[in-house]
Amino acid sequence: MAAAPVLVAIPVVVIMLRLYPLAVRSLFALSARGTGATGFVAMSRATRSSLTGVLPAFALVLALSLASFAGMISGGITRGETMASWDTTGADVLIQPGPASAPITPAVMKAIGSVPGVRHATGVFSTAWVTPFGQPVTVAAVDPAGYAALVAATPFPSFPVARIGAVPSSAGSVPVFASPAAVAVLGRGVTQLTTLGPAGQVTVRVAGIVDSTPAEPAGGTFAVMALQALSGPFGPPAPNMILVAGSSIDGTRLSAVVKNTLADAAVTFRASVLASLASSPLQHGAALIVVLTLVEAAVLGLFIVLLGLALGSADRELTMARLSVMGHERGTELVMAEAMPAVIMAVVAGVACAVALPHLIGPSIDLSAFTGTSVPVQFQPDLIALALPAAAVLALALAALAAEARTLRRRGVTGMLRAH
Amino acid sequence: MRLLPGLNRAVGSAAASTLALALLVCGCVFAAMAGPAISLHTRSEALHQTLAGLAPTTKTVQVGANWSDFTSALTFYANSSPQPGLTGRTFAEARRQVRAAMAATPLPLGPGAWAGLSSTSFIVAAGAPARAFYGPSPPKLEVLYRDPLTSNATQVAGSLTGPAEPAGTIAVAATPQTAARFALHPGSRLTLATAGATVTVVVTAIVRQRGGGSAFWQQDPVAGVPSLATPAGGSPYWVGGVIADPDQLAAIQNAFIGPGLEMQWEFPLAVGGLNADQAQGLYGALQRAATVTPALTTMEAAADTLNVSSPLAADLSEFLGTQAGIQTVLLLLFVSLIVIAAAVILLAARMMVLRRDGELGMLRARGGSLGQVAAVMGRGALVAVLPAAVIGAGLAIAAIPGGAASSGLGWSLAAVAVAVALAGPPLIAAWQYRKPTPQPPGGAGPPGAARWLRSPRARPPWRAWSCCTIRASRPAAGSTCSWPRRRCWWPSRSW
Repeated sequence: MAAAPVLVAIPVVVIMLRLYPLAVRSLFALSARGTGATGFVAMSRATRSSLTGVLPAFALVLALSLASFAGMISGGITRGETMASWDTTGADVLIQPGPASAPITPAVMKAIGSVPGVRHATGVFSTAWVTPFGQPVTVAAVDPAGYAALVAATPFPSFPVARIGAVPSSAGSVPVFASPAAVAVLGRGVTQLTTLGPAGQVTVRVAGIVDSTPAEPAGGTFAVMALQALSGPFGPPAPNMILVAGSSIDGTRLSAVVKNTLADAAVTFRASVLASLASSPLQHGAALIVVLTLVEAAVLGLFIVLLGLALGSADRELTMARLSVMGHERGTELVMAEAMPAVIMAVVAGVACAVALPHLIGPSIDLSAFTGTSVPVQFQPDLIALALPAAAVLALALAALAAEARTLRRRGVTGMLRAH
Repeated sequence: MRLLPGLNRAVGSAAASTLALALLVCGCVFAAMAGPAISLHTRSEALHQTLAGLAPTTKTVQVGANWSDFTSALTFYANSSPQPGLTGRTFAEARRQVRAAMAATPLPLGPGAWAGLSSTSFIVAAGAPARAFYGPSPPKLEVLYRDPLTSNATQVAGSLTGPAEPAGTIAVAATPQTAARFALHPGSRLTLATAGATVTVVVTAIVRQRGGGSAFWQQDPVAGVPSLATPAGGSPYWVGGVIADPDQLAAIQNAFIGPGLEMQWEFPLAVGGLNADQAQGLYGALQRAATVTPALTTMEAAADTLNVSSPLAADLSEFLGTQAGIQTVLLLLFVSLIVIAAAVILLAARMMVLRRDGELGMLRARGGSLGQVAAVMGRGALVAVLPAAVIGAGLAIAAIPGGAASSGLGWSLAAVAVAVALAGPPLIAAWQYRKPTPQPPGGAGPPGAARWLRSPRARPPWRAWSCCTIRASRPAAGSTCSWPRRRCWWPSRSW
C-alpha cells in the first residue's frame, strides 16, 4: 500500500517514454513544413532531450502525482471536517432548550431572528414515534416554508415545500419526507405512527425520500412533516429545537438572547464544532503533515525540473551559440521549444497518475480518521490540487529556460564556442 | 588551512553540484526525520489526551478470581488437607506471583497496586439508623479487604488494630461519608444478614480517603461513599462499604466463606511515558494477558482460576483504529517522498559526474581503473554528504518537538537518503566510464571530448573505434578502414 504511488508511476512513465518520441516526431514533422528554423531545430533536438531520461521523468511524474495526491487528501480532510460539522449541528447554530427552559414561542423566534447575521431561524419539534409494529421512527415536525428557507442556506438537499403541504390531505394522511431507512419501515402506503406525547397518533404517507436533513443531521430512521399537522389538545406542539442559519452571526449577542429568553438552553455553533475538529491533536497533526508533504513534493519537483534542465543545458547552449553565429536570434523560443515538450509530457503523465491514484487506492483509504468522526469522507480528484502543482512546474520550467537563454546572451557565444 | 586544498581536490570542478548535493541531502535527511517525528509527536499527544480523559480504574489491569475456586485449586494440587483459607503469607505470595506474571507479559505496571477480597452486599439486619433506610428499604453493606490500606487511607478516629473479636465478627474501618450515612463511630456494631447466618462488623476506625481519585478507591466507589442503588423493578436502597482492618484477613474469609467472596488484584498501568508507536505493543500485551493463563510459579495450580482484563484495551483499540487509518496515508506519503528524494539526489549525483567529466575522462584515458573513478567520486560525495546528513539530522532533532531521534521510521528513511547520496556518484561515474576511453595521440583530448564521444550521436560503431585509433597511430593502415575519416574525433596523423 505504501508503495502504491511508486507502483502507479512506473507504468505511467513507461507509457510516457514510449509515447514521447511519437509525439515529438509528429511535432517535428509539423515543424519541418514550416518556414522558420526555430521549431525545426528545436524539435530535432527535442528527440534527445535529457528530460526523456527515465530517472528525471519518473521523479517528476511521482513528485507531481504525490503533490496532487497530498492536495486531494488535504482537500478531502477539509471537506470531511466541514461535513462532520454540518452533521453535528445541522445548521450554523443549533439551540436545544434545557429542562428549565421556557417554551419556544414566536416571540423567542423573533428575538433570535433579530440577532445580527441571522438569516433564517426555524423551530423543529423532534420526537420519537413508533409504527404499529413497534419500530421506532424519529419525526421532525417543522414549519415547511421556514424550514425550506433554512435548508437552502445549508449544504443539505433542498426541501420541496409544495410536496409536503401544511395540512393533511383529503385522505386524512399527513405527507412526510422520509429517510431511506424510514421508508423501509413505513412503506409506501399509509401508516399510523404513535407517540407517548399529546399528539397521540398520526397517519402518515411517504411523499418523498430525503437522505439527510438539518433537523436530523446524523441520519437514521427519520421523517419530516409539517408541524401544523400535529394537533394535540392545545394545538400544534411548541418546537423543542431551533436551527439558525447565517454566515456571520453575532455569537455573543445570540447567546445572550438565548440566555434571556430560554434560560438554560444549549447553544452549539457549527464554527466551534469545526474548529474543535480541526484542532484535535491527531487530526491537526496529520493534516499538517499532509500539507508539509505537499510542500516537500512541490519543492522536490522544482528541484527535478531545475536539475533535469541543467543536465541538458550545456548541449542546448552550444546549439544556441552555433545558431547565433549563423544569425539565428530567437534563442529563448528555441530553448523552450526544445525542452518544454518533455516537461509538458511529464506534467501530463503526472496529472494522469494523480487522477488514477484516488481510483486505485481510494477504497483502501479511510479519510474519516483524519476528521475524528464516523462521517464518511469522499476521496475524489480535486481540480485545484491537480492544476496547481502542474502549473507551478510548467511556470518554473519556463522561467528556468528563459533564464538560461538570457545567461547565454550575456556570456557571449564566442567564448562558448572556443571552449567547445 | 590545509583543509581547503583537500576539499578542492575532493570536489574537483563540481563544487556547485557538490554543494547542491549537500543541500539536498541536508534537506532530505531533515524532511525524512521530521515527517515521522511530527507524526509520532502528534499521535502521542493524541494518545496522552485520550488517556488523560480516562478514569484511573480504566488504566489498570485487573485480575480476579473466585476465592473458593482459587483456594480449592491450591489445596487440591498441593494434595493437602483442606485449608480454611489464605494466610497472610500466601495472600502476599499470590499477589507477588500475579504481579510477576503481569510484568512478564510484559505490561508496564505502575505504582498503586493493591490486592483484596470483597464480599457481595448484604442487608444490614441490625444496627442501621433510620437515615440509612430509603423509605422502608433497609441498607446494604459490603465488606472489603484491601491491602495496603494504610498507605491509601488516613486515620481520623479509632485504631486499625482493634482487640481480638469472636468468630463471626470482623473489625472494620469506615470512611466519614459511610460513617455519616450509617451513623458509625469506633465501637459501632452492624449485623449483616448473610445466607444462613449473621455476621457482625465492629467499627474500629474512621479513615479518610487518601487519593480519592485513585484506582484503590474508584474501583468500588461505595467503599468510600455510599450510594443510592435503584434496581430495575425494585425499591431503591442505600448501599455502602466498610474495609476490614489489615489483620482481619482470616476473619473475613471465615465470615464470608462461600461463593460470595471474590479475590481481586489491581495493577495501575504506567502509561504516562507511552508513545503512540508503543500503543500497539501495549494493546497486544493486554490482549495476551487476557487470553493466556498467567504464568504463576508455585501457585501454578490456581492460575486457571484467574480472570485477567483491562478496560484500557477497548480505548486503545479505538485509538489504534484511528491511528492505523492515518498511518496508512502518512506512510504512503513518506515512502513516496523518500523515493522522489532519492531520485533527485541521483540527478544531483549525475550532475556532479557530468561536471567532472573532463577529469574522469582523463583518469580513464590514462589507465585509471573503475575503482579509481568511483573512489574520486566517492570522496567528493563523502565530504558533502556526511556533514550535510549530520546537520540535517541535528536540525530535525533540535527543531521537532519531542525529538526526532525517537522515530525509527525517520532514521530508516534518512538512512536511505544518505545511502543513495553516498553510493550514487561513484556508481553513476563507474557506469558512465565502464568502457575505457581510447587515448588520443599526444595525450588526452580536450575537455568534454570523452563526453562527446560517448554521446549517442557522436559515438561510432564499435568497429570504428579501432579504425579511428589505427588511423590515428598508423595512417597507412587506416586507409583500409571503411569508417569515414571526418567522423573520427581526433585528427589522424595524415591531417
